[in-house]
Amino acid sequence: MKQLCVKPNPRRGNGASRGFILALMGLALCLFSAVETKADPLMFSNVVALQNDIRVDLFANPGTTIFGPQISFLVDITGTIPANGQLQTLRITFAEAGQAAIVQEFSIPAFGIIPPPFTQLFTVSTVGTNAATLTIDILGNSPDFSIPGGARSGQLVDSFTYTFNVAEPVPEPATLTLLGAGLVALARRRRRRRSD
Amino acid sequence: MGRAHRIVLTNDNNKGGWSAVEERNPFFYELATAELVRLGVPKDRIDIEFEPVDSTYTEVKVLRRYSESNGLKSLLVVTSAYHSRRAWWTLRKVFEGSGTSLGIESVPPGSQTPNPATWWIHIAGWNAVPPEFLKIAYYWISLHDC
Repeated sequence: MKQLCVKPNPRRGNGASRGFILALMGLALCLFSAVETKADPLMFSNVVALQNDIRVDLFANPGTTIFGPQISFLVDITGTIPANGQLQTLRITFAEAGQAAIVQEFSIPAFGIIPPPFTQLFTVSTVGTNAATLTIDILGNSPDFSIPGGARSGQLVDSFTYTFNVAEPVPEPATLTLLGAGLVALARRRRRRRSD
Repeated sequence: MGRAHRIVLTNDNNKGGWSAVEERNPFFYELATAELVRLGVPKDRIDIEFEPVDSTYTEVKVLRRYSESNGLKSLLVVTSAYHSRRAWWTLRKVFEGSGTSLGIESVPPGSQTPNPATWWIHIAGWNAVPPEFLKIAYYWISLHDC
């Protein structure tokens, strides 16, 4: 009788080990796709107004008064551009009571070549002493903001509106004194001329 | 190339011409950033000081604050040739006692600014040279005892 000898192929493995390898591969694929879908979404944060070398956090100071007539704001943009590589848009809407809203849009990545993270500066002109709102939204991205504090801390939302007041800067005492002194000098000169 | 580890840009809050890519008028600091990135400077090596500056003096004050908070040992300022005398004088005045070694590098005139020999036949020359002398005098008087 001819003896059948089957030499196990060390490279092939038996059915159980093949199944194990397939399961591992499946797990790796799941993990990979999970990592892919968990890529940091585009978000904005840290919205501040620049006021004489001081940065006023608009979230932490609702209702605060910001002095114009030109106000500069900063917003941090973080996250990754979606895999389709499409340009994203950051939209800023500044609305002052009784005035038409100012809308500004900024592309992400900036100039098509500067991806996040980066800080975007924008400026708006105000006209007086009014209540104002600033709405920030990354168009087509939802959510795009994580509420940084308060009762809704950590909640993810699509766009956020900050409320504050805008006012004209109060003249410094020194400026007022100078102006007053100038006016007094002018009045005296006029008086002298009349009396001559 | 290779002169500094970091590049610091200040913000004069002024905007440049229309950008077709951005479809808006970008700030000059943004144009500078984009140009640097285009030239191969890594984005994370460019620092921007956003606090608006409106004069050489306020700009240098912002630089001193940046230098102190980042522990800089040396600083090389790049500016136009016409501005370099006042910039250098202000820089030394504001950084007095800081221990930071300073340098200045001016961009040669001729491309963005008029040639020194013929500045007087260009409008840009009249915008640059006479006001610069006035500003030097003003800075010398106002900062002399600082």
